[in-house]
Amino acid sequence: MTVPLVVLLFSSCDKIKAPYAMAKYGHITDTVVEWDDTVKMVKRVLLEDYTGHTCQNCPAAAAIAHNQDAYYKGKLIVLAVHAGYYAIPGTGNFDVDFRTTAGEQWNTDFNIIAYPSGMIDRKVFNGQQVLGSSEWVSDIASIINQTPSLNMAMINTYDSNSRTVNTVIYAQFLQSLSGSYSITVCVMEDNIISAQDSSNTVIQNYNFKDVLREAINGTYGEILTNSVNPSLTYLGRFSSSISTAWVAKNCWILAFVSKSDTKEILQAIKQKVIK
Amino acid sequence: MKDAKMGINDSSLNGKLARMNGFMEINYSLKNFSAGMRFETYLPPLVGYDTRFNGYGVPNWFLNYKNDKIEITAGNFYDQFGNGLSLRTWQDWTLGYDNSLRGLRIKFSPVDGITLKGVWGVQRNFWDPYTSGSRGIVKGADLDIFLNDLFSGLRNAKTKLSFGGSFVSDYQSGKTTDILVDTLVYTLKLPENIATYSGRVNLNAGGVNFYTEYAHKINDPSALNNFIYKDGNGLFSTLSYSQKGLGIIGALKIIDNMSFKSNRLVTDNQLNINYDPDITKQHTYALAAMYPYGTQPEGEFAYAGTVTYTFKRNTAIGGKSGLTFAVNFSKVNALSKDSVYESSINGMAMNRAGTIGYKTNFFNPGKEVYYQDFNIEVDKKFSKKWKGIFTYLSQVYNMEVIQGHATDYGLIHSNIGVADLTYNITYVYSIRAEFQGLWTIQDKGNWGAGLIEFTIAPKWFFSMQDQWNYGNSDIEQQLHYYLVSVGYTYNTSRISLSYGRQRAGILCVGGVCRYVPAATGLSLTINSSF
Repeated sequence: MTVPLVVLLFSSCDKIKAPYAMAKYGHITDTVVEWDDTVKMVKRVLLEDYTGHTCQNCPAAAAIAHNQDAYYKGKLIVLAVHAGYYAIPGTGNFDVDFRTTAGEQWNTDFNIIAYPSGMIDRKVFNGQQVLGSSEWVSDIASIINQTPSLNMAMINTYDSNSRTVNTVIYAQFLQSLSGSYSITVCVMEDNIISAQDSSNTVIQNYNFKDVLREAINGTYGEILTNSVNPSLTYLGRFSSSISTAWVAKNCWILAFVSKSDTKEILQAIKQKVIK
Repeated sequence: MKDAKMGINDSSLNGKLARMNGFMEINYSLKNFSAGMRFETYLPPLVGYDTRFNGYGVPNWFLNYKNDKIEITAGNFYDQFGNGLSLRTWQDWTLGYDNSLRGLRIKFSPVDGITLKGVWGVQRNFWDPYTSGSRGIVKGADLDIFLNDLFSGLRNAKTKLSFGGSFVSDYQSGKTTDILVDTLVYTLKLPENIATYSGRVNLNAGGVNFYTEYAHKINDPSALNNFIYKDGNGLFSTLSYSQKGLGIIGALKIIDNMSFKSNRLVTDNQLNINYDPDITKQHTYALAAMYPYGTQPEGEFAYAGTVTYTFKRNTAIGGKSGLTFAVNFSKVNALSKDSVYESSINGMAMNRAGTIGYKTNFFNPGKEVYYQDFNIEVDKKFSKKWKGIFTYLSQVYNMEVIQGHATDYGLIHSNIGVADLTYNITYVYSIRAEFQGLWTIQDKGNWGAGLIEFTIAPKWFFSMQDQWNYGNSDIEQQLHYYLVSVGYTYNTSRISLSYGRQRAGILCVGGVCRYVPAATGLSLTINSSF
């Protein structure tokens, strides 16, 4: 009776190996920060391109998005959200899955049923929030030169051993605004080579850019503030893992601040994970 | 009752003008079998006792069988492996402390000199029934070998040697938990099985006794250690020498991250599996016990020594009746800890949650002083009627570490003097008086205390005492804490009635402490055993 007891006891011992902790999602604090003048007064617009690798009309829409990106030289941020019917993994070269939990939820919540479709700062244009690609150029132009109501800055630090990127995001409101505001932080990846259907043929080595990989602090992010104070800078510290399936040097961290109730985006920013 | 000067009002009393703590313990034995139970009631608990005691019930019962070789206990039991560094369950009524195990205990002695113990159960936590997740399951085994009994040739040897070892494991379910560190939420990997193992040796040769015990605990991230993953280590050693009229004892204790509880989220006195022995002197005089030491299981380096010498009768110093002289010194420092490199912040960190925490040179004390006590006691019988005990103490006390109160004066340095005089009027009547003084410029300043006690042996005693905080910088708080008491003893029963004030402070027993709030009122105590 004693020997089995001793053996049982000696097996009752869990030695944990490092790393002991993994960062889950961010948290927000506020402080007073001196801003560098060069990061002020830049309005960046977020274009969400809802797409899928078996969507034949999607490459054309993606081309419009990338042309606009090049034209506005950093003032436009494109986010390719693979969601819905045409993003479902198929067979052969289409057996990859670019869908995400957040992307699928946005696809459902914003009632996106046709592809390609997009949203521009999730604003409503002429009574519509979900926009066909033919409307993107004019709708982007109508808002991209507006005075921003929010400044944002971002610093990324990447640890290649743990494949962890630590992100600090600074946000300062430039005017008093009512209501509650959320911050959503995502990982995007460029230069993913895979198959894409098009109107002519299947492009076997299509270069997928700006692909949403993960919303690291929840589908709709977390509360930045419930009571805007323009004298304060809101600091968000986030830590995210870069999956071994992703190429770290092609990844970006994207963050955007939106009104918590309407989801309308005030400002967006992205930075490469590795400079 | 209300006492405006003590800040006790209707709001603080909250309608609870009368309180009671009571228990009745019954044990019955018949041949090899015994059984017992203890009924407790706290309706509501006395001031200073945890409010979670509120209620009544039978928190302790047991069934026991014992013969020459084996002893089996089912129900609640108390046990200790060595000095308790790996396991000690105990109960103290005045402290409101009870961490008994409820389960099974087996003690087996296959031959003389070998004792094997096994325990398996869950700890008492006030009135909470055990549910999965409320606390862990504790299991342990202990082996003790006394060579002088094991080998017949050593039975009559003057040198006695024993050694032992133990292994204790606690299972708490939950593989992960989320905590907030520097504005980020982290998911921690948790060990569900935490183990402590220890070894000990006891050597007695002539008048010299040497005891040492070492314990090691594997990673145990908890709320008390800020969820660090450093293994724990504990060392307790004593060396003593005694002969007629002379006693010398020295003790060394080094504790590094040795809090071991059966609920990792608990930070108070509850659910301790092991015990951190206190090697400082426990004082009984009121002012000498004003600043008692509470052990710091997260890290401390302590050493102490006592020399007791009795000058014989009819010597120059001993006089007609002899004189006993005792000097004691104890000191507790922090453990020396260094920060460690943490890759997630690309910098050095100390005690950062989710990391190894720190590194330490186990045999180096840290610079911060937690406690220091130097005291001299002279015990003298002047004549058949007069005797006295005279004590001087010099103490250093770190209020911030021991009681968790930040102060603007740093350490408390105090000098204390006590004169305890007894005059035997007759064989039946005696009178005792205490005169005490505590002098300090920190905390509440100087105190004076006096007690006079009249005894009619063997049954009656009457006493009056007062502690006066005459040196308090706030004149309104230069209060008298008076107490009058009367008591009657009949055979094994004792009843005492007291009225007066109790000052706020902490009460410590064996290094485990509880807060005692200020109170004014009448108290009745009845003790009886049968």
